[in-house]
Amino acid sequence: MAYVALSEAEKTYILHGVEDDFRCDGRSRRDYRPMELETGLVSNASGSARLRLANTDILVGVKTEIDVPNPLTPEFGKLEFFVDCSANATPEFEGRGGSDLAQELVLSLQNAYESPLAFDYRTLCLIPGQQCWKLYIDILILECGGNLHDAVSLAAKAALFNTKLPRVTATLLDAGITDLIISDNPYDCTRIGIETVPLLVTVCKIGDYCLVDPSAEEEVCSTVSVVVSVSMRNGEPFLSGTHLTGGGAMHRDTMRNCLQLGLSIGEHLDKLLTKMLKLEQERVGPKRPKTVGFLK
Amino acid sequence: MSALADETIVCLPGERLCRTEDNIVLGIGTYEQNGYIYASKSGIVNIDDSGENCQVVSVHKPGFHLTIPATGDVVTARVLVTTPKFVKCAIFCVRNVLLESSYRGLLRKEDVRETEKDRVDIYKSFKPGDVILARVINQLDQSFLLTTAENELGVVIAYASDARKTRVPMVPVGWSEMQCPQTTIKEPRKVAKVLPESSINAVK
Amino acid sequence: MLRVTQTKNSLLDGASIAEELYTTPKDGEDFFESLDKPEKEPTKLAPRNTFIRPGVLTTVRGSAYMEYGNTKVLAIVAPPKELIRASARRMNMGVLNCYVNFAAFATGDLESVAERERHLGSMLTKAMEPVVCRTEFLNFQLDIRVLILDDDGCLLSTAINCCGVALVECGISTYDLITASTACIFRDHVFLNPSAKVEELLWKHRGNSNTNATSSTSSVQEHGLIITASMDTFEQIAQCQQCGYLSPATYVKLLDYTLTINKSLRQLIRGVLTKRVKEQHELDLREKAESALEDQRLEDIIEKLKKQGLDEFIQSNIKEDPYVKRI
Repeated sequence: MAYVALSEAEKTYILHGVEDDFRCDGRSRRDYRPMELETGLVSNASGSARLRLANTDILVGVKTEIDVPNPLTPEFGKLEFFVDCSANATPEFEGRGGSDLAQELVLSLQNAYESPLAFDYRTLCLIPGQQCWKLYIDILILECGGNLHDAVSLAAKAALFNTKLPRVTATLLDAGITDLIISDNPYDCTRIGIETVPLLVTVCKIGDYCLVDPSAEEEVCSTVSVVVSVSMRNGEPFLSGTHLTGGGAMHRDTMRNCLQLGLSIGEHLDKLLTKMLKLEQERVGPKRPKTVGFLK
Repeated sequence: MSALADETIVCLPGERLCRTEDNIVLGIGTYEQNGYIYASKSGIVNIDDSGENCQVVSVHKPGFHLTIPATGDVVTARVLVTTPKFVKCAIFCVRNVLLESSYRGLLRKEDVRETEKDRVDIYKSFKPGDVILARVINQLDQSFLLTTAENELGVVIAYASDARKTRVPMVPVGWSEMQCPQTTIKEPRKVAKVLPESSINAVK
Repeated sequence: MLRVTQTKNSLLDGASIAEELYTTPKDGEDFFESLDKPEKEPTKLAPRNTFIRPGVLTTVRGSAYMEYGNTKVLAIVAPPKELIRASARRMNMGVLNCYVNFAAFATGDLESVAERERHLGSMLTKAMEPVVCRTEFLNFQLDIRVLILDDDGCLLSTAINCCGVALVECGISTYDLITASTACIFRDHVFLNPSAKVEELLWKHRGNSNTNATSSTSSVQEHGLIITASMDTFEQIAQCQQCGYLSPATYVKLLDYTLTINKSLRQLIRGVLTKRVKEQHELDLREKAESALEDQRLEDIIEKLKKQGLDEFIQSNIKEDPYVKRI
């Protein structure tokens, strides 16, 4: 994690703030920081999203490729995550400094997307057993201001929503060989269903209380946090991967509380994200949108 | 102590030993949590009286126990590199415990002896290959800072630079000189006054 | 490893070659059918047959070997080293690194070994971090190496148990004993301490586990695996990793199962370690008695020398250091 130097007095101040349910930036324990989300700003990727959560800045690009499905799962497409901790996020990422963090994020995402119930791999299938889509989800961390797990998963979901797969038609040639014809029309494309795509919610334990969306300073104060992956299916939240991180331990009951908090927040977050993505789509429209990008 | 010897209390990490009280001091292998003292190592529980109604609770692990050089320990080290300003050495023994792996030690010119520090010549005090006794004074980023500014600290085993074949260690012939018994060559060193074990016990 | 299908190959002149295992999803289906399935609600929450032995290696001080059913794991704790990476030094705690290696013959599936090693290593580090008193070795890094000799499921939890024992054996301060266990749910059957076959089924056949379920019924077919490491003195959960797709209620149910198994494992590990301490204590006492005898012998010699005045001679030969401050 990005390192922030805090004195004991500052830590105590944060701790007391958490105890009184009034954090340093005025939030309660269940509040997120303001978010900015924009989709479709990378022209060379099939789908992209940029998310800014206060100081955390994430850019996600989705690239597509046609691949042969795994023989064990002939009807499934493939997903691959890649996280790049850019050196300008924090000087510590220079060289191989960010690789541990990147690996942790990749593993959490892979774990969360593992289940076919969390991500419908069948939509990526072209010809069962022969051809499928393979999506490369490249995540670039531009600025590191705490709560990377949540930000990365939100951005990834938004980028998947934005991803357009060109329509593919297949013709059967002799001897069972199929030939794929990929549509040239950029507007002739299919979308990926994102209803069940999981979101990661980091529930951070500071003192005796649990809170969500920790800032970089709050992350330093916390002993342990639970990363809960929440996937919404039929209006009910499911867990598609959880783990503890941060080097501490917690009691079973605390763990349950954290889960509950994570689930309710995840549910809320998912609803909001879906709503915002719909709005964004309408704003952008089918015409070439006027992207805002990094300019405000 | 002797009365307790036959009824040994075995404990494992995480076991509650006793309540924290004013006259109980935490010893090695213990930690405090919520008003109780817990063991952090497996071993035998020791309760020693340390005068003034104070008791030290510690856990002694039989067999091997891990040693890391700590500030104040006397260590045995081998000189690796000498430069005009400092000596680099490898610590391989702490007190009387042989270490599993060696740690880096750094002996600065100012810490070679107690007086006339400015006139110390490293090259006249140590040679690579010497075995020295030193005391740890601090832990730096990458290595331990050592000192030999005591009568009993300094070179204990050294070989004359040209007598590689014989490998007969030199004999101290003064506080700053050692002599090879075969070739009678004298070489300058910061010699440690090695005391026999019996006299160390007497001092204590 | 699962079911080797031998096929006659005409090119090989009647010799047979093993076909790739698990080639079709159908194989998994067949295997699941052949599996004796546990009851829906497990009644007996117990660990597998376990064998733990601390101090198996003489060259390394902190080592432990553990057999958990057929899973065999060896853990080694190396003495702390100075930190190499500068950035890690800014934390006021020691750094823990765990490395997991598969023996070449440990697992049937060789392709994903490197990835699994990395994954297990990072999860193991996360699980062991809370238990080690990291404040005791500032500016140091502690390396734990795990060698997997045989893989029959529950790898991570066995590795955690084994590392916990190795740490205690090495004499590294820990806050508590750590125990871990695994439970998984697959098609409504709860498998405790799943074997490699079941785990493989869960991973590779995630696809067809619900082909009919989702289409026919609206209810979701849960599947998932949970690994819990706990420290029972303070009833703390050191790590709880879950994967798959579980409803919160099932999650808590599985969590409680693993916690119960951890408790009985803890008893076992306690027994082993207590025996070990007693054993070593006796050895120590014997050694002490022997060295006392030796001391006695040396003292006699010194006594003799003193009478001859040799000691004085040696003492007088060393002159005082003039650079030492006189009090």
